[in-house]
Amino acid sequence: MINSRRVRRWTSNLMVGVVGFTVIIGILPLFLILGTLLVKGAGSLNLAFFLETPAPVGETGGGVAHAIVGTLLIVAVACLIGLPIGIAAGIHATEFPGTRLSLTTRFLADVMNGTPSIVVGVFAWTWVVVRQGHFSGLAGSVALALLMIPMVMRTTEELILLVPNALREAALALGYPRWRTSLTIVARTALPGLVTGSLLAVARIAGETAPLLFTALGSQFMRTDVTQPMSALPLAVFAYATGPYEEWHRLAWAAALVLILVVFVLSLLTRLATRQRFDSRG
Amino acid sequence: MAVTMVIGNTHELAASLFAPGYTMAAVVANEFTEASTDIHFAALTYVALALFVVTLAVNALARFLVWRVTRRASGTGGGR
Amino acid sequence: MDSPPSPPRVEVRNLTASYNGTPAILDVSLRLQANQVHALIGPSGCGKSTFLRTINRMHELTPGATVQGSVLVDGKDIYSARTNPMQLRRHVGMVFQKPTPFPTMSIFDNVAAGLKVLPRNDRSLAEIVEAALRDAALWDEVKDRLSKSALSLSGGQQQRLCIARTLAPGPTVILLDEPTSALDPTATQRIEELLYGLKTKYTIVIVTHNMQQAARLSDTTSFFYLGELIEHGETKALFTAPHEERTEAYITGKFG
Repeated sequence: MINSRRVRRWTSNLMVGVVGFTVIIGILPLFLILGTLLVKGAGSLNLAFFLETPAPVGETGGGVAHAIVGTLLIVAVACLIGLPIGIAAGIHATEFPGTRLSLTTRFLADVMNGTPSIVVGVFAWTWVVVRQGHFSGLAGSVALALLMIPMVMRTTEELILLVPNALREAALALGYPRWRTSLTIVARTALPGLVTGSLLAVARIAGETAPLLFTALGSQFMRTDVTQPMSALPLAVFAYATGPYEEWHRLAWAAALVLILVVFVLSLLTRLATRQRFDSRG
Repeated sequence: MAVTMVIGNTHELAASLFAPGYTMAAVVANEFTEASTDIHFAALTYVALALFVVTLAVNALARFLVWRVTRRASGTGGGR
Repeated sequence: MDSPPSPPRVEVRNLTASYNGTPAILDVSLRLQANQVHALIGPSGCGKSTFLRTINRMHELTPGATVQGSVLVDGKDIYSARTNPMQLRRHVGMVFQKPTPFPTMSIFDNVAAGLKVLPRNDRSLAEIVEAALRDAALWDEVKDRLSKSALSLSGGQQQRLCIARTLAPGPTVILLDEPTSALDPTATQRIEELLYGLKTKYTIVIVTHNMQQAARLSDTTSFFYLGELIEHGETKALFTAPHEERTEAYITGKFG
């Protein structure tokens, strides 16, 4: 009997070890990526990198200020388009399930979710760039918004479902119409979660390259007009990384590091926002 | 995009997994801005369409499988 | 003490309420007089909550729920096409089993919540809120912290807050679905005293699975079983000398 106990304990430890090993293998690429970025890119990070636009080809120095500004602008406009639509669709689909509109939006969102980002880019190209006659940051924002909407809609739905039905009933029993219950009671209660979901979606689209390739196109110069082509961090990374100059490759590493940092900071903000919510509830 | 940067962008069907190749997404990503003739554009858009259809089909299949499993579960084991 | 019969505040005629075709209550007829406490008792699943929810038209909000027969409040058929259900619910308020203060709002805003959908009259919001909180026996405890979150209150206080919230729009009928079953005995007692005092101004219909509560609190009691109204009568009479065998069996604890 003692033998079998020893065998069982040994088997258990072995299994724990195997699982732990696979966990390490799973996390390893993340650390490898971060490590490589830090090693190759951190050296190039200085104030100039954040504040200057690229130096002329062949010269050293310069920065990716134009790309940072571009990312901020394009993502901001994408949020303006995508967040209201995604959240509204999510609220509607959960609060009024079974209606034809909500079933259609669910279906469309699922299709959009599965669409490759490059296809979304082609779509934005067809409908915005061709119409406008030129590339623009706005077209990029449209593409990113299209990617954002299903993400935001899904997280919104999950959060709205978490709101206890008792709250809805209490509001309805007071004589609230259903639309008002959804907006003022349900959505307000789910607000912290909606913010979190939005931040997560923003973090994900901030790193998208493919939809921006032939919408925003990219630029070497600082552009703040969203109706014109502009740069963005992922575009800058792609352009520099596939370029012929060593100097560009160095910039690519640094820009990639900056991009990861931006996503990291956004995710951190999301975590902080969630934690504060639990503390203030007492 | 990650694949685009490492796959080698070769318009060739190679026998080996280790030889450079191409993906639909990579083709569109690389050549869209360079396309000059109408037929090039049309071809690239067609590739995008094919990619879309493929992902749609895979998604539909996946959801169908999930639906079948949940239906069986709620039909026999689950329910009130 | 004979007084001329006054029209009932709530009158129910041949009411059948169903979920997806299956009746939860069957052919119920009942008259509830104004300014009294009416208790609805019966074992779990007997339909008393469903019955309650037909009076403020909350029953039909469940998908697949249907209603036949008529319910009249102050003589008016509430299921007629001309009745606006939302307006009805401002006259017939409801308090639920679990206290549900709106978590994102302060105590003041919670009580005022029902007023936001009303056309405002001349009384100021603060006055109405104070009156409602006094009626709910909560004013003294919260008057210094009206802007604090409603979640800072205890369970019993939250339930009284929900009662105040229901009182603020000025209903004539208050429906309560097991309002004290989630509370401790002290909080329960306070709410029972409160409800007893409220009947001078309101008509109270309370569903309870606690027979002692029904006996303490109510003027009339209705016993439901398996969706049917078995017996309805003055509380003291029903509890001491019930007419129906099933009523007696339930009251003496033989089932339920």
